[in-house]
Amino acid sequence: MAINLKEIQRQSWEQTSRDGLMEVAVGLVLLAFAVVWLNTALFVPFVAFLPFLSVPVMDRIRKRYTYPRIGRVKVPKQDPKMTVGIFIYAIAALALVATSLYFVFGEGFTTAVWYRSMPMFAGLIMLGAFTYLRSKTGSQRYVAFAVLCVASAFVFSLQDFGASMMANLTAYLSFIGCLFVLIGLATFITFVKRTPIAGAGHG
Amino acid sequence: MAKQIDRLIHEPARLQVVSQLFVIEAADFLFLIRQTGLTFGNLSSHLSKLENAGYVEIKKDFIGKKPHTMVSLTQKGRRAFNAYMKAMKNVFEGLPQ
Repeated sequence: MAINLKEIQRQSWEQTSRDGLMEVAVGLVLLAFAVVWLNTALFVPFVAFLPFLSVPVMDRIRKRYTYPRIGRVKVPKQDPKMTVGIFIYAIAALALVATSLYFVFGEGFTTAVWYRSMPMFAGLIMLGAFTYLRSKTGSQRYVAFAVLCVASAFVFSLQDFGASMMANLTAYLSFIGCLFVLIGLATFITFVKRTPIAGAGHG
Repeated sequence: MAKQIDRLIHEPARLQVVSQLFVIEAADFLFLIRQTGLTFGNLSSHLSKLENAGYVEIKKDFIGKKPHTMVSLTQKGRRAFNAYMKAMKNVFEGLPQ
């Protein structure tokens, strides 16, 4: 019997995202952000109430469908240092996009170009999030998600979706949001069909 | 040397359970059964021993109308497992390759 704590930890993390509900939640949040960008007055209440709305709903669904099948595990709470890390990463992503645009467009780097390229910034944020999840779970699907987010961000940054400042970002978030909801639902349905409910007395 | 090795943790099934609980915050019975491959009765018996030693905390509640049990490692359990890992490392330290 070999005890590999890192492997045990990786498997535990992997179990927490097997049901596909995380993808559905991410997709819905991105779609909600896309709607909120269209009406900025909603932004502050939306961000403030998001955790209060999403966590109980997810928990109810998991109590009904996920926990009776694979059990429940609570992974350790996020290290407070990580919040600082996320903030630094976001600033670095913003700086990277700005610097790249400056080198590509030079004098032609206007606010219009900046707004049009906002999907690249969002794509880099998603890249960071999925790289973190890949390191925790070891699951290759997060690599695919990261590639998908960055590649589509690049494509959406090259398009012109209208005069509105946030048009490109809204279109990108809508596209990625819909995609994640669909992927998540497909994963969830497959999970429910393929994983039987455990026998009585296993709670 | 043998005195330094915690026999309660050293037993293979309990070592599996404690290792699992060490890397997470808490888990229920079903999760532990799936991860360790132990039967319900076996797991229950090992957890009772660990609970009596103060190494694990067992919390019982309900999901809907069904009873649900969450298990977590206590601070004492974490300290004991850290000491166990250190002791096991010392056992093999200095051995010729």
